Amino acid sequence: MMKKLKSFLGYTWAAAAIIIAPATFLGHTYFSHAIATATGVTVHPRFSGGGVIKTIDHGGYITSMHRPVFDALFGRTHEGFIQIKWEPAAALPQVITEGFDYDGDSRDDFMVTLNTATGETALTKRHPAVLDHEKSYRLRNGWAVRVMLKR
Amino acid sequence: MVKKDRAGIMPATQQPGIGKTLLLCLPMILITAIMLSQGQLPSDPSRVTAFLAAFIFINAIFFLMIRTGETDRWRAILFVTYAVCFVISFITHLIESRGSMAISQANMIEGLTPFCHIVIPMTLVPAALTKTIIFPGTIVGTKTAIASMFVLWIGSSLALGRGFCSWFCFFGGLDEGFSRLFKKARIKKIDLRWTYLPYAVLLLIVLVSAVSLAPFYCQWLCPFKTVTEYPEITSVKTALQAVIFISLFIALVMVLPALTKRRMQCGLFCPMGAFQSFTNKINVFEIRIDPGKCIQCKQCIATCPTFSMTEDTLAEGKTGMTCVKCGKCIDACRQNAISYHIKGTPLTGGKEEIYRRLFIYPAFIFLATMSGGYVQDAIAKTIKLFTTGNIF
Amino acid sequence: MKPDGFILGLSTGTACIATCAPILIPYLLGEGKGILGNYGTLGRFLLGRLFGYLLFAVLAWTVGSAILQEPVRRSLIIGMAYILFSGLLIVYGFFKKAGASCKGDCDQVRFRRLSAIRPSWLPVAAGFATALSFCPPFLLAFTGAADQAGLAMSLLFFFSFFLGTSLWLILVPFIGAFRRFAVLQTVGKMAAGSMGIYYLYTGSLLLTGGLKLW
Repeated sequence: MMKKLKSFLGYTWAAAAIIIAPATFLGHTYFSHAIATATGVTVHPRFSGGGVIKTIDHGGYITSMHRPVFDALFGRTHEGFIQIKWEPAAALPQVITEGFDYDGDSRDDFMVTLNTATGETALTKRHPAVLDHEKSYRLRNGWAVRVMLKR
Repeated sequence: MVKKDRAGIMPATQQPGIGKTLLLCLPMILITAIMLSQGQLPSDPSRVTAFLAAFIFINAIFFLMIRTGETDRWRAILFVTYAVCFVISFITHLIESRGSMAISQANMIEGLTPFCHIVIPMTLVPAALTKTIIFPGTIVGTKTAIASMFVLWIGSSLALGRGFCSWFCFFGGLDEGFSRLFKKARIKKIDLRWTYLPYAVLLLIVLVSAVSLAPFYCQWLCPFKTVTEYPEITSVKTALQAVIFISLFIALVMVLPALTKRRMQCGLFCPMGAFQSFTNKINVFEIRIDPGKCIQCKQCIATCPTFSMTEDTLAEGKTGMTCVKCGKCIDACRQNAISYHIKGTPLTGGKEEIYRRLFIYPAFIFLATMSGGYVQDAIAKTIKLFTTGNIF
Repeated sequence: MKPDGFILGLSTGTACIATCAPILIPYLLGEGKGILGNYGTLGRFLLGRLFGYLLFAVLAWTVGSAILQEPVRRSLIIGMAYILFSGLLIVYGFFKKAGASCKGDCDQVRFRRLSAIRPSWLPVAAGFATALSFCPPFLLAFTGAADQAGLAMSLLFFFSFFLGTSLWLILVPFIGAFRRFAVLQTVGKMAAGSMGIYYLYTGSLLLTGGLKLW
């Protein structure tokens, strides 16, 4: 009896494999979205920059300030960064100078000057937790800068 | 005892006739027609030519698999072609869309890095603990998005177990191609202790990636960066990474496979392969050796590309858990003592060919569908190169 | 917790499967207390180990504060120590056969002899003894602790290292039931050896005045 059951299950799985193979490709889009929705996973903020917490509309272009990223596997790291993004590229002035308040005390914590023609960036620190900035990044439709912070 | 006329050839009395072979190939012809065309024929003449060439080539391979009873001989041709076409298609696509094979930090911020299956083991611990994927890609939306690769991996693992490494992986064919360059192995004695190295690499990359929240293998150890994409060289660190990638590629994918006639990267280094070995424990397809037919010639041990056949496993009548189900040992066995088998079903009863067909249908669907797009693209680009002088 | 100490412990702790576990397993199997009982013994073993590590943290800090005050000399000495000890870890991981170090007088043999008597403090003593085993991961941890800014940091570094390595030993009570322990030992040693390559790189960077990775 057990032998027959095992044999039946074996053949069933083997037959199912023939269905699974095309279904994997044909239902690929559906399954991908189902996995993403069911697990709720996102790209780690160290790569994506984290969620946007503030957008400033300058008329022609928009500045997006992401949340400060200190995410670690457990707890938080001592050093992190905050990502600032400007888009669309076509509407950006040649030089952008903008101040940012990331801790919500209504005072600018740092100021970034970005030359959108050359990518040159300067950082003015106004808060002791602001450390430095990485180089600027030319995106497909804009620019981004990451400013290093400590907690 | 049924002996093959020569290694790998099914006795003429057992070979299906042309009509029966075509009938058995019909489902594959239909499936590949749908998969390769994705529901509609291309309008560009070079693309139509590429589609037809790929379609005929792939189905000819399947026809020969059914007709001759040989698996690995024909699989290897498509598998190696797939890997070569993947490299051609992928690199030209990168240059076309990004202007370079190098991936910049800006590309990473925008999530433009294609996700590959080797990253999967590294993402699991952080995904479980932080609900995030430690990779600069996108979750959904493209064919190379993270969730897409997870779907393909889950599907192929359920269907094939570690057969994934011989019927799905777009890198494995490079290793395999180089392992088939020479007729005889120049290096024959390999310490089997090294077969544990992939597990050590797996352990290492899973731990370091979890703690550093970055895909360590991609950053430091992946030989295939050499033929896909690598981080833009902007510092000593990135230059060192590039040196490591190229050195590992030359050593593990080119030189050692050529000298040993084994898939050295897959068998002695690849952490994804080690990870995938565990899926063999639950997958229903396996390779069995009939002790009644085996004459202990050990040809299977000598030919196994991933060191999955040893004297110990031979004595147990099966392969090790690292078996990639390529079928090379089956083709090599002159005694017909080795065959595909479905777990739970009887070992005797002359159903070996049924078991084989039940395995090669899903396996070939994966190989044909995965390779189809790249083979078509590589052919179309080659035609374009010859007719216009420009590959893009 | 100090992440760098924890990472070092976690990544090189696979070596513990090859070195410390063989000391524990015969004792645990000999006691035959079952998994819960085994955890009691393991707890005492870890306590002894922690005590040994903390003592070495004090020693590491003393060494660090006595001879590693000047920054350039500090990075030179620490860099060289990393290179030397990671080199040892690579040799240990890839080229040293299992049991080659034990010539009848190692911890393992001594512990086996004492196991026959089974006093309750024995696991604590064994834990303490393994903490003093000067294995390559331990020597790397010693180097890391000596590189810390103060005594508290050195203690915290070794404590984090202890936590990282201990995660591997938590598996030990189950290992008695594991059929192929030799395979685990080989994989553990190779993983630790692979990590040695990484620390070799870290040491080289320190030595050449480059940047720290962690």
